[in-house]
Amino acid sequence: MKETSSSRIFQGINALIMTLVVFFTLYPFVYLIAQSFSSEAAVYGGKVSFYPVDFTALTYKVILSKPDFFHYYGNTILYAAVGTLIAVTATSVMAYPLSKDKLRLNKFFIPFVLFTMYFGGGLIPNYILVAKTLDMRDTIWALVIPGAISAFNVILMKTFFASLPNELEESAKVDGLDVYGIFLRITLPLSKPILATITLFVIVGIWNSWFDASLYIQSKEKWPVALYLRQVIETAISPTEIGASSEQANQIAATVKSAAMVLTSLPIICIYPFVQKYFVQGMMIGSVKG
Amino acid sequence: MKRFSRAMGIILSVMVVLSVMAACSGNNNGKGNNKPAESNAATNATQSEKPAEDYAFGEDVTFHSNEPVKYSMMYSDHEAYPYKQDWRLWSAIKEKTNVQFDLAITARTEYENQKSLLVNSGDAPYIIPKTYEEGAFVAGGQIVPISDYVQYMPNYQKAVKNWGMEEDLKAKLQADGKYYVLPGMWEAPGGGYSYIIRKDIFEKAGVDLSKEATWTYEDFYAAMKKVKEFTGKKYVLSDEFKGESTLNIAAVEYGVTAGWGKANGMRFNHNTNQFEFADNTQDFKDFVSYFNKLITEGIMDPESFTQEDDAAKSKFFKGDTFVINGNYQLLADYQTKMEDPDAQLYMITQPGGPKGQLMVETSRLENGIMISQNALKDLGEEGFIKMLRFVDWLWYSDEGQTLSLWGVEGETYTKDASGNITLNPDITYNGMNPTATKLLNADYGFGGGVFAYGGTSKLRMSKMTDGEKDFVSRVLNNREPRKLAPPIMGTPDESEQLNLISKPLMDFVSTMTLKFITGQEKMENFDKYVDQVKANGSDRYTQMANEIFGKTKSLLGY
Repeated sequence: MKETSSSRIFQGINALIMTLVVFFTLYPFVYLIAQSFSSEAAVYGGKVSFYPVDFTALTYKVILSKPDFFHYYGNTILYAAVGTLIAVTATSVMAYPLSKDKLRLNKFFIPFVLFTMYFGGGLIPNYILVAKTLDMRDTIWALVIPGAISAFNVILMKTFFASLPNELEESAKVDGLDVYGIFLRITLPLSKPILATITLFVIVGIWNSWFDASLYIQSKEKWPVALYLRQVIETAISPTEIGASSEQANQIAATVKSAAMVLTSLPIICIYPFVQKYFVQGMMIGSVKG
Repeated sequence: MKRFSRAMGIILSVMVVLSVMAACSGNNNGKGNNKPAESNAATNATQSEKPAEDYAFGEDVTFHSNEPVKYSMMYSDHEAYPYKQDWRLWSAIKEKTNVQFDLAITARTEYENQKSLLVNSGDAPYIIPKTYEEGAFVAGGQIVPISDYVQYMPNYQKAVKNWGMEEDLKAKLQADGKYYVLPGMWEAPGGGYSYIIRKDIFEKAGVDLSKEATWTYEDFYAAMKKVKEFTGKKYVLSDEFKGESTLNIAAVEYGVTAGWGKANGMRFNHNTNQFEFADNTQDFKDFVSYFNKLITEGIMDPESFTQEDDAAKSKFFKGDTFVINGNYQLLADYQTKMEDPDAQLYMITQPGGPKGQLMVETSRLENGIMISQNALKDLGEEGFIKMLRFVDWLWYSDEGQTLSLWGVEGETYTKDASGNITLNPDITYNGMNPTATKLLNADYGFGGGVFAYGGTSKLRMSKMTDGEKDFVSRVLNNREPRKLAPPIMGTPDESEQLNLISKPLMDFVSTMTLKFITGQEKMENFDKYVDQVKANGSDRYTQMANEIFGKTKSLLGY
């Protein structure tokens, strides 16, 4: 097809607008990185914009030299790993039967699930359930179990499973597979896109969550790194607390927040490019197929 | 198909109704339990005549329980001295009283959230310290109206009587005429925030500091002007706290409210016994004009009101500015951070103003302790009173307060014949013994914020360095204490209404305060501002406040 000039103009303007959007989205992060590597004088003087001024890695050195930081990091990795495993397993096991049209009770269960997406118990009832009734206070389970099944994820998965052709399952049944076999050997291998999407959603959610931890976790050793970061940002933890001497404290006070933020979001940023293609696919999967 | 959706509809509605009924009946049970306990309290007016107490208590008597007891308590864990199970603090309390704590330890930054959560879910420990605002918890019914029980607390009563705290306590009264928190009490108000100056620079500039205790803001302005001419620097004062502390302490001397203390903009006229709105009066105009003068003459940095604290401190440490607002603890900290080794920091007495040489700090109350209803439920009336007497000893007796602050005599401190306390030389605290390696709070658990506050002036001064003692005595000797304003004891509905008026009104006042000061708004437009403030509800608020005051006057003794 020959490109008309109007189509080219459109593409040009489109590209321009998209570039601007990318710039505005990226800029805060670029600024954060630049700030975390700059000297304190430059930060206060407002001289930092795109790149570090008076490059210094002192702040990173100080934060990383305190063993607690790595301990919290390890906690978060543990919570993310366990939580994602539980969440993805539970969500897929719940979504699979919901995707079968011929099960008549689905007409009750699907709206039931949808209902929870709009209405919730609120903070206090949740707290009473998790902390008192189920007694999960100060354990990893308080962080991974309550949020494991999100109604949104279930609907997403259910739609994907429903889009898989029935013939595959029927032929598998003819070959002698039972329901569990079909689920494990036919359905799941075909569902890699949606599984990757849900995994990414859940991992990012658990990685960034500090509120649940602040509610249910009492012992400081069990803190996820997001909660530690929140303390740093609340300037509760003065730089001397996280291991600097008082001369250093002056210097890094300006940059300790941005350095902590960069360190905490780094792993997610590293993972993202690898799962990005599944993510893009996955977002479209929820839409109706013809 | 239709049958199913109808059936589902019925099932869902039945579920909703059932859950609502369950919730309501749960609440009723809770309320029912409270009633018998309260009626018992009313009849139980006599105290120490009861026979066979299994514990010792009394005014200036060490509380001691014959049986070991455990009380649950919330503990706010400060990151500068993290909780340790083997702190000497715990064993010292147990030795004297036979009491141990079942602590719900929460990081300091999460403390308020946890407190809200635990109280509102009915799960609160018996003792809830570090309570600054108890108002929000009153309506929930989870907190004991402690004013009904303070008759059982001898050391508390002694402090109230000897220090004349009745007026101060009125500030804590809620709409039902009771108060719900055991406030921390000081014999005299503290020094508070003031201006930290570079004494060396001021003296070199030819300022006579010998009379600074009698300065007014005009004298202070003249002194800063001299410093500006001498040093030639761009600004003399670049403030931290976004200027809120400076505005607060200056507002007192002009009879208005601003900065941290702006509250609802009201002041109480003790001559007419009426509330007035202060922040659109001629006094207010004088107040903003003064600071406007400082800005236009280049004495005060306009960025004081917008910059981050670190930026302001940085300028002060480097020697680009010579005045900064702070309290004495900050001064001690800043002294170590000054780049110029010859820098001498000095805290001036807060200057006076048109309303006189008024003391800024009036409050002798500070954060306090709430007691949860769970204590009454679990311990029963007698056990509850026993616990209160323990609280009374630890937080309100001189012996208990000294233990919380300084520790064990002989082990961490020594006392001379006149009762002056000296910290052992191998322990450091609050700037004392700076080269010592052991920390009174982090290593021993004493001097921590959860237990160590309140007390006699002697005790308060004991933890001060000489510089701070000098500052506090200058304030107490040269400044007039102010009369306290009565509280506006509205019902929850009235408080809500007042809040709805006050919030946008005071937001407008704060914005305009800064605009007048920085020159963004011209002084000629002040009359327009006055009218705008009235339009935003200042008259309505004043009227409501005076109505409520009229109704509650008798409770307050006016």
